[in-house]
Amino acid sequence: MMRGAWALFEVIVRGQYGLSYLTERYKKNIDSRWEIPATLVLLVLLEWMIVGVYQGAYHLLSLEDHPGKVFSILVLGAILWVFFSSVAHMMRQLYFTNDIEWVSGLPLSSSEVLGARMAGVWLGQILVLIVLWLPGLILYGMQLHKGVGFYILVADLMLSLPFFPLVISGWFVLVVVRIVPWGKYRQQIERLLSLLFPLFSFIMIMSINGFMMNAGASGSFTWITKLLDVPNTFASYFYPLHWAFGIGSNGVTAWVNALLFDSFSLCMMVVFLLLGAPLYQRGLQMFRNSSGSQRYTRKKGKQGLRSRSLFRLMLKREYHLLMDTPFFVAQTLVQLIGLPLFIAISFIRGGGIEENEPISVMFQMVILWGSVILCLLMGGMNSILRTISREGRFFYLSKVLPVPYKVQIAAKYTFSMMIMMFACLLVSVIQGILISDWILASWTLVLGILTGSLFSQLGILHDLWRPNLTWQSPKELAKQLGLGNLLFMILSLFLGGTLIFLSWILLKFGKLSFIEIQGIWTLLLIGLHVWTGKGVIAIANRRYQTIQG
Amino acid sequence: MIWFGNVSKRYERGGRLAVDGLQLQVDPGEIVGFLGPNGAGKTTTIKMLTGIIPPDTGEIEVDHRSMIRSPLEAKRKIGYVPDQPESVMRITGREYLHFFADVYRVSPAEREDRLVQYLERYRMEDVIDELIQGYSRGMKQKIAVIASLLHDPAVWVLDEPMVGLDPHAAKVVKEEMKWRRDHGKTVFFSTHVLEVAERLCDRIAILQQGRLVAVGTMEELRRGSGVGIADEETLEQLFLELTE
Ligand SMILES: Nc1ncnc2c1ncn2[C@@H]1O[C@H](COP(=O)(O)OP(=O)(O)OP(=O)(O)O)[C@@H](O)[C@H]1O
Ligand SMILES: [Mg+2]
Repeated sequence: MMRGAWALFEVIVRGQYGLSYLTERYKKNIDSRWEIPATLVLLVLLEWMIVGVYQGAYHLLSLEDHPGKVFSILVLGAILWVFFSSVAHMMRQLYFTNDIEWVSGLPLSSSEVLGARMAGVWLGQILVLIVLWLPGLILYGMQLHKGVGFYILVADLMLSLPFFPLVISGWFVLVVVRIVPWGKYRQQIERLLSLLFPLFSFIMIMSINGFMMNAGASGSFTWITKLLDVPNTFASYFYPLHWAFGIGSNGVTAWVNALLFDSFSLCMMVVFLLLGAPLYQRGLQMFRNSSGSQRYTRKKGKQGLRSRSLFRLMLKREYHLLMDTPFFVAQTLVQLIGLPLFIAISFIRGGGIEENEPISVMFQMVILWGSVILCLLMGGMNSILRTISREGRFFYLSKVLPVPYKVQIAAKYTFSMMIMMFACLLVSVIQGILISDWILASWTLVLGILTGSLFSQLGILHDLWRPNLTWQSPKELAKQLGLGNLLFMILSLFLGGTLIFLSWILLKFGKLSFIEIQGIWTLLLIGLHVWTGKGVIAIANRRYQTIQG
Repeated sequence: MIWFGNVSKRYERGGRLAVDGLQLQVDPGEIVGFLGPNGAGKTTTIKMLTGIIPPDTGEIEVDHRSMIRSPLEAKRKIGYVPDQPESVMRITGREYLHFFADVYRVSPAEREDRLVQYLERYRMEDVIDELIQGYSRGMKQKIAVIASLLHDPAVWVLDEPMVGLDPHAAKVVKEEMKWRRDHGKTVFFSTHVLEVAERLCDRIAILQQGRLVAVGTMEELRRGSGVGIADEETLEQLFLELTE
């Protein structure tokens, strides 16, 4: 029984986590070996930032005073994180991967298939926990001078912690698929479901935010005490959480708790695999019956009959490339709406800036460039970084279509800019409302669009340089994006920081006024555009020819 | 042995039957070709046979094991070459084959033996350690064929196996079919290449809009059609008459 499941798990890991792909690439082209140290450096940088966040948090929570409670918060946070972030992943892994049919012809029981797929999700979650949570736990151990035993238990916790939340989200997914009436509306429902995770996280963030703000209103530090009690409230509803929290205690108690928690998690998983299997089987069948019907009945409408300009056609194609994949839509939406809404709401609940105090020029500058960075982060990232890769296996179409590459690139750029401009508009309007300085807001809009345009070009070049045209699922593409995204983030922070610094110098030593300084930046950016615009098209034209679709 | 007992399948509720009351038996030591126009329901039938989709009604047996009641045992008897060789995962050919060997429980000794033998026979030694993603269509097809043979299945089911194969590989596949028939195994395949069907098959089944319109040896088909000039009639003429 185990062997088949293990084989499937192995294939999932090799295939979906790109292990075979990476080893093959590593073996073949030596020239890209620098990517490994580069990734490591970025990772170290990221970890360093994360450790910084934990340090701040521990200080705020005054770790030494109640170590047990802080540990509980860490564990509870990880459990909630795994639950929320795994729902969408699980859904895709169980029902939407394109190997579904292939696997169902194999002599594997549905428990085995379910087990292997769960294990795939589990592994992904462990990796995330190691990146996000492990630094926190290690720092915790170091600050409290814990012994070796603690670290062993933490290592064990990394492995066993995802079990329980995964089982819960697993049940959730199995039941949802069973009760949702697929059939005709499959695509629409898929679209809705892919919004689930963003929605969940959003609700989570909002409620945490609201909780802190509410608590904050009644006294500056009471919300911390309240926060420290949250894990116990959870545990009072669900006893096994006590065991998980208890792993942080000292001596034998910790080991006993770990043992209890691990066996509990294991039992949950086994029960899930046994009882969930028939449910999974039936869900799959129902799903498979309705699957593909879209392929046969999709209405093409009458578009394309009217003649349009090539550019508009290409623009429309870009639109469909993004909108027809629910995952991409969700990503873009989260970026566009989630972040600013969150900031706006915290701002409003925090009471906003004291209005009668005049804002210093320097502060204006910081707000301005901070907002510009925000624009970049919202409009940039995923959506403009992958304009070519998004085409995936159908990239060959771009090369076959009788449309000049220049027009295609221009369409890609324009589409990215439409998203970017929307982001800029949103940010400047929110900014205007919050600090009621509409002149500053319009500067934000102008400078945001100008820098955004530069970044869009950069994004296209970045993607042209090494596109991924062989992804099997959009999630895979998104995962691969990590490095690019990180670069993008660092670059925009760097740019913002530098400009703020230079503005400060101009202000202090050049004795220039706000308008003069911003005028300089505007002119500089416009000038840059004249230069890059031509360059990008020329380079893109050349690269287009050499990319193998 | 393969047995379809009055099998029907409908994809959409209220839609038309993709397969309609199929009744067919394929015995060990026999090659049966499955013909029919596009959309006749060949692939649907084969998917039901391999347990990928369940039939609405009817019974399917593979080597005396019911695909509906004991699917795992039945599936273990089958070697299946799908119609779309798009292998789904980003793994190398070797990893893919080992996966199949694992799932079908092929012992390590046998596995090595057969792997070497088949890789040589299909001329795949050079690319076996590359990613399947990078294979040509024919290479993908060949990998699927090898994967389906590793466990020496009692029943070999192929959905349009000749598509994309070069003449050499096509010949090897045809030889393999004959070899398996001569060793008492069952071979069932769908194809649009009538010459192949005519020369290779012991019996031919023709499907039309989900219904079996003819089944038998070439001889029987000629007699049954009642039209033609008896012996001279090719399968092509027969096929066109029957599926008009
Ligand atoms: N997933 C599906 N959803 C809805 N209808 C389907 C689905 N798959 C096949 N059909 C329909 O079932 C019928 C039979 O299709 P099938 O693929 O079995 O034909 P086929 O004989 O294999 O054709 P071909 O020679 O083109 O391979 C067709 O009418 C097709 O439209
Ligand atoms: Mg077919």
